[in-house]
Amino acid sequence: MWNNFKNCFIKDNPVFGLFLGMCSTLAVSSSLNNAVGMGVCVIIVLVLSNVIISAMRKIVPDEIRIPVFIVVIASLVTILQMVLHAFVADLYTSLGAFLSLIVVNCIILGRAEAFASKNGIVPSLVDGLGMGLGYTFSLVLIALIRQVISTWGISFYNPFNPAQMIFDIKLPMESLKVTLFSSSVGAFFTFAVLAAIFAKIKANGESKAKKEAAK
Amino acid sequence: MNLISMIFGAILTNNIILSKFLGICPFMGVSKNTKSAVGMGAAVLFVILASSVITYAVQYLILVPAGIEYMQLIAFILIIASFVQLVEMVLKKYSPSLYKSLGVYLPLITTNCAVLFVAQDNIAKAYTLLETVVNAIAVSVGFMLVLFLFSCIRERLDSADTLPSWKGNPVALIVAGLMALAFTGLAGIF
Amino acid sequence: MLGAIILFIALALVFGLSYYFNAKTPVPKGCENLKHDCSGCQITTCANRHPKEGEK
Repeated sequence: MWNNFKNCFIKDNPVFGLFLGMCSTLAVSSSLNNAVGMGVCVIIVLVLSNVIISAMRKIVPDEIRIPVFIVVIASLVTILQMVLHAFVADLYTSLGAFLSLIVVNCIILGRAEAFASKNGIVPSLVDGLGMGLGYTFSLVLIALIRQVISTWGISFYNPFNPAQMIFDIKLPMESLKVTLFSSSVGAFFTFAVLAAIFAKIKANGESKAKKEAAK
Repeated sequence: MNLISMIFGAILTNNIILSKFLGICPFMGVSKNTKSAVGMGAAVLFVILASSVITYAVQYLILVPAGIEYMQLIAFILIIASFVQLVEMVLKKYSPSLYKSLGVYLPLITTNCAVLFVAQDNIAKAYTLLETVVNAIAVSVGFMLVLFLFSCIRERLDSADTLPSWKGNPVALIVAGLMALAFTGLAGIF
Repeated sequence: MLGAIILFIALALVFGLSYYFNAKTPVPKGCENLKHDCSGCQITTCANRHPKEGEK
């Protein structure tokens, strides 16, 4: 179970290894605040939906499990939207439509179908947490790279009080920045390079394991 | 003139795949050969158009008068999903040839980001019915165009010699990035 | 509030029933083995999915 959890970060990373949920990854990774906010929302929805679906797995008839999953996830996202709108209105406006699109995010439906509907509550919770944290990790990685290259500095403000900056670092030699990276082109390129790096790490890990097994 | 700029915006400069990043999942999966790209594009056009009109009607005839706009997300996703199931049933029973060419792509579009986004966007931007229809058609044409172009490139890309860790999705994403770069050059025409 | 609950239950029923009947409707003859090339796609809820062995 904990092995699965560790794998979610590099080997089975939902974004770079399994290529799930690419739509929202590319779109919200333009700034660190959006990335962290979206990551936390996905963790919450993923963990709750995994737990609920795993608790219901014995009473749901097999033929209509997809409709049941979609109804559960849609209700969770609607409640999350309302809570965010009330307490963290700034995040709600900057995430915009992508908050509603968590409903059709391949990660949540995919994990519900592949794991939560077949395993107990605690393994599903750990799996949801692992996948959510892996997703947040990848999102933060892309956002850091894109934000540093396009604005030559990192900034992060407190989501509950937007006027308060938690840190705001500006690097020297500001003429080195490439503003292209804040647009869609930069998103595709950053994602492609990181996906290649993760594939290489995965392939190295697999060949090492094969060599040890052959010894 | 507003409609013309909306059409060109949706197809070229604010393309739903290259600028708004929606519909990337089937974009990466189904774009390996040209014929399936066209079939997928046609299915997407039909689903987006019909669901935009239906959700528009539901929003303004049911949700707003009853004061329950907060149910928008749940109502829309359930309507879109049920609509796709019904269409697939009708195609299976009454038109096997049409089912063969585009019915197989319908399950793929049930949980497609693009359909839900267009449905909600039409309401958020307060479009009239005509603008909704035009927007839906323009977005789907943009989707089909990019999918078709990408499939032409990908057919050659799969037989090219790439480094092992770049094979498959990473190099496809680089190509998508280059296409996005090309399309941003078209901004400012209208 | 009551309207929202009624709408929710009605739509969920419509979706559940349409999904169930669609799954029960047989595919027309000649279309049983349509397996188009969707190997890279990660939409796990797609009914056309034919997972390769070793895939979760």
